[in-house]
Amino acid sequence: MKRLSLMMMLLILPACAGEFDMFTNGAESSDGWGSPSPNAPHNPDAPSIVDPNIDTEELTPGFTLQREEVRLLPFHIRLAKLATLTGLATDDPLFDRLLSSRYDLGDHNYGQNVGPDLSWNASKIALWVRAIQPICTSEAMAMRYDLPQDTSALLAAAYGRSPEADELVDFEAVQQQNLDEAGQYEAICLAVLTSSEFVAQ
Amino acid sequence: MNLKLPLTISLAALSIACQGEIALQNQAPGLLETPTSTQTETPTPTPTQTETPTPTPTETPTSEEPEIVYEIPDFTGTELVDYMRGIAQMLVARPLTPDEAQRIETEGVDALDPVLRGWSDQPGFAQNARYMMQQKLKASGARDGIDFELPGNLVHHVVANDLPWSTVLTADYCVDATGNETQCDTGAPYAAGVLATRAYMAGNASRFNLHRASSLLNTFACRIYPMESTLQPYLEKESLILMFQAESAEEQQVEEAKDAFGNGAGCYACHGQFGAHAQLFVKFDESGMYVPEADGQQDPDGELGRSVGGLMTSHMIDPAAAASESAQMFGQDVANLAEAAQALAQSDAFLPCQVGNIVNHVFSGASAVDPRMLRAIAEDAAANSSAPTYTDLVVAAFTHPRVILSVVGDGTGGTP
Repeated sequence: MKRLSLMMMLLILPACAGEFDMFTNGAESSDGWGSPSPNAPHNPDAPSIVDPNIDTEELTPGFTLQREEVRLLPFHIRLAKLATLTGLATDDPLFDRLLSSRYDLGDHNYGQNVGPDLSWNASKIALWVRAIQPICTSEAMAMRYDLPQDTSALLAAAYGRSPEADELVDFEAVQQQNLDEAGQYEAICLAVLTSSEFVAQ
Repeated sequence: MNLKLPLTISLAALSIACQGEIALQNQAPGLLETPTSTQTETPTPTPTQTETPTPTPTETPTSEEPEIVYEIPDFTGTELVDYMRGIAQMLVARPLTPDEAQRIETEGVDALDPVLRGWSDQPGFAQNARYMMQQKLKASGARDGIDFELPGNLVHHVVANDLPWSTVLTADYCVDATGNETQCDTGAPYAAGVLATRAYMAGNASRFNLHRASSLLNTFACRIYPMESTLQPYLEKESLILMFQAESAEEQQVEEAKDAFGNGAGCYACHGQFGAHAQLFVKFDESGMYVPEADGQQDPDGELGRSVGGLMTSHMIDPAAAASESAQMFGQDVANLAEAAQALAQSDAFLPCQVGNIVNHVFSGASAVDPRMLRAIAEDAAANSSAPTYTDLVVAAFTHPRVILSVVGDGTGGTP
């Protein structure tokens, strides 16, 4: 059993007191006869051509997608995303702590009878936070993202989309906390890089 | 697929932490239920199908099937951007770029093909194909001097060099860690893509070579035993060893097999097809080495299904047939595993199955996958290329309107 680091406790304590609410907001066939093309222009006035070898039917989903369960991205994808975010290679020493826990974080090595584990649970969340902490306190991140003043760039890089206004409001709340600037930087960084939108499929 | 999620996981982390100590590293990570070590192999001779469901086509394709033309809905730019955002992570290990998102938003479905093709030369693309196949083949890492990365190296090489996807089965070489072609490691006088590697052989070693046969069938044809006899005709019952001829408990003449291993008494129903494929592996020992003198005979002092020297027992009753690698793949006589791999790669089952593997890899929560859709996608890919590459299959799959419809909105064709 290990205890969380001091930094995490700084994050956690206000949350326990209910003051840390940043996370709560949370055709037709293209050739007339061939395979359907999603790009084909549709003209509802065109005369229909009846061919006994063609069934016209309403498009239905080809499979059912399980949407309830959070399933992690494979470990190598999470690592690659962190590398892209920091502008470093995946073998940079900054990722040493992460790599030393790779099998506990879901990576696979069938030669050693370890298959991938893409579940997301309490112990894995805690381990992930601990493993990415050096990244969030690194020079590489500090050079690229001006936190806590501007969270937009980090969110855009992490999620591949522009953040919405209410998301930014969530992060602004961090600045109201009793944390110094470095603490605020780390809190925002850890939150983004632990969010399901960053780590999950 | 989370198209956009709040930071609830972080909240969960914090609320859990509030309860006090957090146990770090106290969970066995992904420990395989069935160890691949041959020393701890499960005693059941018939393979079990316990992994993530793979789309298993249950309908036999016929040439008389009417072609289906769908009425294509108008997907909005926003829906398509969200759709592709999830796919990008799994195919190129990064978020969608602003340029890609803008293009999809503006051009709609017309943008999907060029964006997907544009990913094919990015490092993450081949890496993710490698990952997909490593999971299917259960081959990665190293053990006992066996390089379990060899199959993954070949997959990476095939995708990175835009070779026909069937090369993963038919390559007459292996690929080393630096990406160079090299000899495979089994010592066999032939190669057969990812199959003729010690990684595949050792990782799937089991009595009667059942795991090797069933993994091949599941990964490359998306079938389990028994399958339709129109695809794999049954071997003559009299050609099998006595225990596998039985179709009922009353017919079972072999004392050791009378308990049926918990898998039923109708042995012939599965082993009449198993035998055709298991025979391909009769000369590979449990460490994956090729043993030319292997004869497929039961070790009289050994466990049922094991021959001497770490080899496995043949299904065939005739000693000459038991010692021969000659077998059948989907009704085609083949001289060895290399020819079987060629026949498998050319079969009608191969491409739809590979499409299914890709769809299941990207959308790991996919279930009830319609085999007609997989066949339609495979046909689209084959229509554009006589030897579709991985990229061709990816493009055909993720531009298909039924795939898009399964993901956008609430996945029912309606809105969430």
